[in-house]
Amino acid sequence: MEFLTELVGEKGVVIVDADLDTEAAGEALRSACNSLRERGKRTVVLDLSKVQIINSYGIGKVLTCYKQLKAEGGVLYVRPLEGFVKETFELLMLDKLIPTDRA
Amino acid sequence: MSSDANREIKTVGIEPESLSEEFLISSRQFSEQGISLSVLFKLELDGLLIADEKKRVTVAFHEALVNAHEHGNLELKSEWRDEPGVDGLDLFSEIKKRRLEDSRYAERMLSVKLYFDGTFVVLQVRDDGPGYNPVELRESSAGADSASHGRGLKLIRHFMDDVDIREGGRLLELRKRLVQAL
Repeated sequence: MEFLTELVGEKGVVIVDADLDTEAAGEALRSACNSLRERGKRTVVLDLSKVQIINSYGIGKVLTCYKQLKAEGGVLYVRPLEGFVKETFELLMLDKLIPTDRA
Repeated sequence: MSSDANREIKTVGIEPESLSEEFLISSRQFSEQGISLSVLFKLELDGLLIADEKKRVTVAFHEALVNAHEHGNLELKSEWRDEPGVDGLDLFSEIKKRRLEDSRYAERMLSVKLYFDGTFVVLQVRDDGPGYNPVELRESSAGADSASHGRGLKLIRHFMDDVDIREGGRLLELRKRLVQAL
């Protein structure tokens, strides 16, 4: 499984086109974030518009991306936060940690 | 979770009130094949479990199974996710890989029972691990928003109506009411 990435100005965007509820999906997310960081991107946006479910597999890798970027002075954003994903982020207070990209 | 072979499945009855399935699966099998919870699918078809409620139940049940597998049988510690391992993996992933190759851990069993009693959908998961102290776990994960531990249980407690941890942490029972009392 692989997630596509896009470069939009200073931002790198990960197009997450599957639910983040398996180890494979989590690994694909981690790999995509790493790819953007290796290309010098320090502002990364996770496009979660197609994600219906997220569980600890996905949450763990989102946090890995967040921590790696933060350690390098970078920032992780998500967009959009809706439905069940929003509920889960708010429950775990991840929305306080990871801002929503309004662009 | 995917369909799999090599599992014992018992599906009892065709009426929603008597839906039940049981699995006895090793952690190695769980890692390779997963488990398909067809009772949830049947409840969805019957209109008893829909939309976001289905997502909440699915996620909570998944977290319970993975907790039993990873923290129970494989004895993996959540804080290892924050520590570096080898070959670009975190320590958790590195040790998980090794323990799935070690039959002392990988052949430990997960006993899973999922049923609908006409009102509640119930998941019981029992692992063969050494158990844990739920109070200690709750205290260690309090306020740890970006730390890697305790999130699974937090999701379970939020999405379920009842959570019962017994047998020293080796048996977890989750209950979700699907039918309101009249």
